[in-house]
Amino acid sequence: MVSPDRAGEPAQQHKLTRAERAAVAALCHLLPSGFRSRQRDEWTADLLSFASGAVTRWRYLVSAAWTLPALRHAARRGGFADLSTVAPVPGALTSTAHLFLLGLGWPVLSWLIMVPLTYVAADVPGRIDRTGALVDPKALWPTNGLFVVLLPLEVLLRLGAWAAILGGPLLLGAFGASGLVLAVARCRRSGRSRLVIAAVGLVCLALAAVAGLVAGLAWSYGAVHPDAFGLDSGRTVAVLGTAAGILALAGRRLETRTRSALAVLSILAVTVPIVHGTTTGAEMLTWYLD
Amino acid sequence: MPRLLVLEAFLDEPECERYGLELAHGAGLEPGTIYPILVAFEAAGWLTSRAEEVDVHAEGRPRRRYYRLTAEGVAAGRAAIAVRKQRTQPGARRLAW
Repeated sequence: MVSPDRAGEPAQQHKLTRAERAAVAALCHLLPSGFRSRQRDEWTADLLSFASGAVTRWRYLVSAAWTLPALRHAARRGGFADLSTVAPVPGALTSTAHLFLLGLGWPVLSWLIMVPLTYVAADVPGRIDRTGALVDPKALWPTNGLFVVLLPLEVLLRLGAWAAILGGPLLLGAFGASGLVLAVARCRRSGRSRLVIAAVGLVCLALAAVAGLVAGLAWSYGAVHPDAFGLDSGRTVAVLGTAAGILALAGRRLETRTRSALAVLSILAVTVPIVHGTTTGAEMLTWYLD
Repeated sequence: MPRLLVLEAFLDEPECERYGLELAHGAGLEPGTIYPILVAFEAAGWLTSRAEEVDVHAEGRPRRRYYRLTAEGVAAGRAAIAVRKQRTQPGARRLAW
């Protein structure tokens, strides 16, 4: 329904001056090519409706120029190429990207901090050489005094690192928990969008619980060797990282920063099993698991 | 918050289609500053738009583009305004530009 007070607006008979037309053309030139025609029509129609004179029109043009970077950004984000209408970024695509960023980013970054960075920063090989004793990874994290406030962070990082190293149900659980966190955190999104991502999170958590239970039972009854599951040394993370990389490359309608973050995450994730395959990486992994 | 002002203008009559300048007046924004907001909302799936069906020669101006809230936009807009109202004291609306 068109607003009734505007639908029957009479024809405008004003004309733009040459300078005004040049200003509109200059502004349009700075917009994505597929969007120019549409925006030229918008601005021109608005300018022609100002009967009050040149000052109003130039004030309008200055306002338009002031907000041009934002318009340019919005038009690009909207996926303008040769479209006459804006194609919205599909909610499912954004949700998937965010789920990958959190669900995979948490284990990968936790692994990075807790395993290689700690191993190098705490000079674990040097300590072992000097003392001849094992260095407990848990003993390296300060917990006395005020450092106790870091305990929740340590737990999060430790869980994330284990999820990256073990894969399987723990990694699925990390995705599930991330889905629930996203559903709670995205309060500006519609209820339906949040419901869908919460449902995905719950399904992941349920699958993780079932897989963990089955694996635990199989283990306790001796049906499988303990080493037969769990320790995949980051191979699952690498597979998911490859998926994140594909999403970064193919998701052209995602925000640039989202795609960049996915690309960086993808590289880090693929690096995990490669690092574990090296001599130092294997030593780091053994140290952390022991 | 210009975006909230635009949402409020839309939500006055959620079923109504409006064009940019009309919305700018309704929201109390400086004319010419509203299009980044409309395009961003449309990119987010909160709005749909269509070109006006008029004879441009008879009208003496190009076609306008009419914008309308989607169901997602109505829900998201109401949620955003509710959050804003919770965070701020009720006071006079001011021009955002």
